[in-house]
Amino acid sequence: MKLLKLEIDAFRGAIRPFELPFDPGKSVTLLLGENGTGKSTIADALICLCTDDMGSLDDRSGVDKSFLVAAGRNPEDLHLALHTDAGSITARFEKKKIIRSPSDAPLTLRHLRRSSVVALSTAVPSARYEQLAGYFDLSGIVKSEDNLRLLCKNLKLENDRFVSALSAVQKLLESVWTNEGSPLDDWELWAETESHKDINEERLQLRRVRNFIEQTEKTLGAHDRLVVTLKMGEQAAQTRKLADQQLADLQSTSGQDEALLTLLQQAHDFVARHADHESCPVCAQSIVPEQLKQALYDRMESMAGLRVAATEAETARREHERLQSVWQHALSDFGNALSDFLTTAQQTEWPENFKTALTEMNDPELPIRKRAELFATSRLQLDMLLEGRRITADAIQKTVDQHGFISENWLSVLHNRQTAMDNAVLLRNADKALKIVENTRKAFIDTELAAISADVDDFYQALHPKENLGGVRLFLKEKGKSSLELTARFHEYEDVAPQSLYSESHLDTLALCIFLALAKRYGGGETVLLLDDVLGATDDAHLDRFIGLLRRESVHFAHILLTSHQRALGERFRGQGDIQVVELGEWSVEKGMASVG
Amino acid sequence: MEGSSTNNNSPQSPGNHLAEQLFEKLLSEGLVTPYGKYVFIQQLALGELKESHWRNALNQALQPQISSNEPDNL
Repeated sequence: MKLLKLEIDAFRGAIRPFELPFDPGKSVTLLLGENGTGKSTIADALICLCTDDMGSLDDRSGVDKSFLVAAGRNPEDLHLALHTDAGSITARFEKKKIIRSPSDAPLTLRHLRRSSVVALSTAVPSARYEQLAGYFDLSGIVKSEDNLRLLCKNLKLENDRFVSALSAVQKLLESVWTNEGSPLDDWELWAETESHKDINEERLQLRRVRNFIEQTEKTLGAHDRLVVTLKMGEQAAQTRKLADQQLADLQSTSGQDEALLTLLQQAHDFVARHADHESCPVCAQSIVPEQLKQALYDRMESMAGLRVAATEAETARREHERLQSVWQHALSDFGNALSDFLTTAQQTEWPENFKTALTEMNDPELPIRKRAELFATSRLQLDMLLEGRRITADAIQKTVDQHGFISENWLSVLHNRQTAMDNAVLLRNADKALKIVENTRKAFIDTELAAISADVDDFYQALHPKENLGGVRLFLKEKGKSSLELTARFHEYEDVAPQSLYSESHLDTLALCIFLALAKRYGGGETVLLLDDVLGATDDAHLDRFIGLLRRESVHFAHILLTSHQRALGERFRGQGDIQVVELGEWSVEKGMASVG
Repeated sequence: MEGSSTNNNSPQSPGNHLAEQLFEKLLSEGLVTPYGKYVFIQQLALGELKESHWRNALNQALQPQISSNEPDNL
């Protein structure tokens, strides 16, 4: 990729539109200018176009993005554009934000400012690691690794639970086995044998016995109802008889007839309904309806006792008839129940004397009442037999239940064993995977750091040949996940902390070498390197070597842009084939930024 | 502080590079299967490989091979 042109308007020092053309044939640009000519404006423009940072404003406190707009200009006037041979990036200021288009820049910008130079070489190990993490971010891997670690932990907990559950079930079965007298000398063999037993015969027998019990209980219940309704019917018959007798006695003594009472009541009702009739419907004599009605009423009143007796007799009659009907139904129900019982009874073993009664009850010629009487005589014996069957049913049920219990728990043992085994294998593999991830990550970082260290030292030797400095080593602390140590050689002293013995300028160049090594390793052909006024403390000899180093390494980048206030650099490098020199002129309120030559 | 606009999860990023290495090592140890390789690597690099994903991947390696014709997920 080649840079073509940078356009800036209404941004920082660019109070008027400013353009910086790049020479596509040159991979290094030296941007020179004294303080206040706009070097940082150009650097900040590139930073805002290609990153989410604000450039030099990030180093100042109490600033916000509105400070990016040039003095005396409106936010909507802000315009940035970087044109390359692979496309353009533009930026504008909207709703207090820099809006880029496209939102993902087609190139990578690595930038270093003066304020960062010292920090890079003298930072505490954890801060230095953070800076490195900005170049190769392994936080995703670390997060995935942590999740794997969590899996291992949870698998261990699950394993403990399976083992605990298995132990509980095994103990339970073992205790049942002990209670059973410890057959077969081994509880597992016993449990397996028991669970494989075929108990269909027992189930069938239990069904038959339960069926018999149900049928017998039903028949006994029907018989009980029959007895009760018979008794009630007999009582109702007695009541009816008494009521009839009472009525007859009253009719006899009073000479009054119940039929007459009925006739009087009907006549009264007729007259009441036909109040407009003036003649009797029977004899056709003239009548006064109200008087006749009253006379009829008075007559009925005189027969009140008879009325009461007639009502009681009627009530007794109806009740008796109702209970007779109920008894008939009860007899029918008993007949059906008895029939079902006798069918079931054929499948049962009976005592001899009861067999005789059963045979008689089974006679189809025998009326049901007779059968009921026979049944009643056998009642006590049947109750005893029923109780015996209940005990038998309970015993069989216990056998069936125990079989179910053993089978279920034996299956549970087998299942839990298998699950625990599977889980143990999974846990073993998860632990193994975690070790691989941890060790590979650390080895990867060590390899990266070794490679970076090698590059850093190579660059440093290029800058400081024969000075007996260098031997730079970047490495992770043994037990630290994010603690990056830096050591170097100082003459005969190996592995020293550079900040303890190196001069300020040597520390500066060391920082530049680290930055350059990182940018080279994690950059590529689409990377633009921006070094914003980082050469403050460097003397001429080292400056020359540094420029030489940049020229050498420029093949690894799309472009290198170096800003400096040292105009002498322009004189030394202008006209050299691969270096473009741009000088900024004096800034003015009328014209803003300007380039010279 | 200096920074960059690098996409750390591009195919050539160190995170992806390490994720590929890890996958190959896990595969060589028989701890994962080759199925779903690319999704696994991507999730591993992005930190999206949750506990359940790890469990499934490790479990799958413990099962018999399903089919040699099953394609990798992309």
